[in-house]
Amino acid sequence: MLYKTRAIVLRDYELAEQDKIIEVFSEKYGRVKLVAKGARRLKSRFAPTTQIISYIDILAYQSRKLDLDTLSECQLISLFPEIKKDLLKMVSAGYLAELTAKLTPLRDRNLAIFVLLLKSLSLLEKFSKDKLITLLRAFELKFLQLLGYGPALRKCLDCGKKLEALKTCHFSVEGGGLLCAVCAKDKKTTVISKGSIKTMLYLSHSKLDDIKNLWVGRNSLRELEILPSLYIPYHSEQLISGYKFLKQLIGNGA
Amino acid sequence: MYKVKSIENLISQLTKLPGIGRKSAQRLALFLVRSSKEEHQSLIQAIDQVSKKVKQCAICGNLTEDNPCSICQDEKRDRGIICVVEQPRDVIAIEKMGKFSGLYHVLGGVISPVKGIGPGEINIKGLLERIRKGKVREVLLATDPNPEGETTAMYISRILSPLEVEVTRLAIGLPAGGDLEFADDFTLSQAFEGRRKFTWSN
Repeated sequence: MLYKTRAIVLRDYELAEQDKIIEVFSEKYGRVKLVAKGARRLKSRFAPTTQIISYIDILAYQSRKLDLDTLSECQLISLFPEIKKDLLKMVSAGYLAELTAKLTPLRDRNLAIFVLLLKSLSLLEKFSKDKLITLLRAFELKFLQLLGYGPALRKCLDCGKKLEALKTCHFSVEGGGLLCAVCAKDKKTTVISKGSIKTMLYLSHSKLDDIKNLWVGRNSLRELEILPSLYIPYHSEQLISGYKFLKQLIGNGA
Repeated sequence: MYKVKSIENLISQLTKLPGIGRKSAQRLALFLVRSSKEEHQSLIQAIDQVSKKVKQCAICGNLTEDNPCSICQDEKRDRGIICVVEQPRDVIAIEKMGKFSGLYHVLGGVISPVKGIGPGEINIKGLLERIRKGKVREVLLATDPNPEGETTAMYISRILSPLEVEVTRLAIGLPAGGDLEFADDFTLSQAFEGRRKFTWSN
């Protein structure tokens, strides 16, 4: 079957002498793997259009037996040039692509994830570096929610006591959300300020565009690090290696 | 199902090679079965020699039988310029061109945030050590012109910025023999940005 869809290139692998496999997140079919024949040749028509972190329009043949389709035509919509020019933005985009590639199932259409990824990449192009970390946290929260792994933050997971009534907030990675001081007893939790919980709630439900007007304090940003460092690896059972390099770059003030 | 254990073993070893699937491995294995004992011996010897003799050059990281490699030992080469490449195969391509007379530095990979390859996993530390020893005036970044190659080039140029060394990058633009109408916007804009004065001679 021949199909046409728009897609974002997440990663690529070498195949044989001159070909490569690209993994894309597409608008109509979710995450798909495609063979791009001859894409590693310098003069290949696929060479410039199948680079990672590119927004493309594809025509492909669906394989009947394998999970590997064949790319027939590929038109470039955007290469996100501002991301490619900046080391920190490129590593951030790579991190978003890694999350999408590792946490989404193959051939599972999810338009909301496609829109979230596309919007996040286009904002990453425009945003200054101080908004970048907030954008990444917003992506993580929205992405986890769409996959059904989002942390429960409005009330205590065990007794149901509302966030507003809590004096101290405990975050349980294993439980997947908020616990009050009583329920957190004898459990492995991290104390997080109420402000940070509210920031997480805001980032989960607000529009991505609104981040440009949002100011998040250093303390909250530090506390929100629990998402990529502990929460995502625990719930996805995947090691997100791009985060380590990203953290190193941010720490060095890139 | 009929199987010959030793041939099966050879096939499973051959499928470990890059770009070789089971069908190709079966074809190669059956070819080897039909080859003479002398041909077997020379193949075994060639693999044995590679495993015993070939190592990484302690200076540039290129593959070599002598340590340091013949390029690093060559006094005629310009020691003021280091060309940074991803893989030993890139050194072969540049040497084939025959117009570069400086030294090389092989990274052994590229930074790939998507594949989880960070700067610690490639040979950047060795490059810094070579530059700190002095004498190097230019570092030419010749990583591939793709996002991973660009990320690596950006990272190296950032860590070299405090050092007194000129950092250059290979030109990106239209390939020779290509058609302008098929070039993508990015390549075309790079070609425009990198335009140079055109001179002619009689």
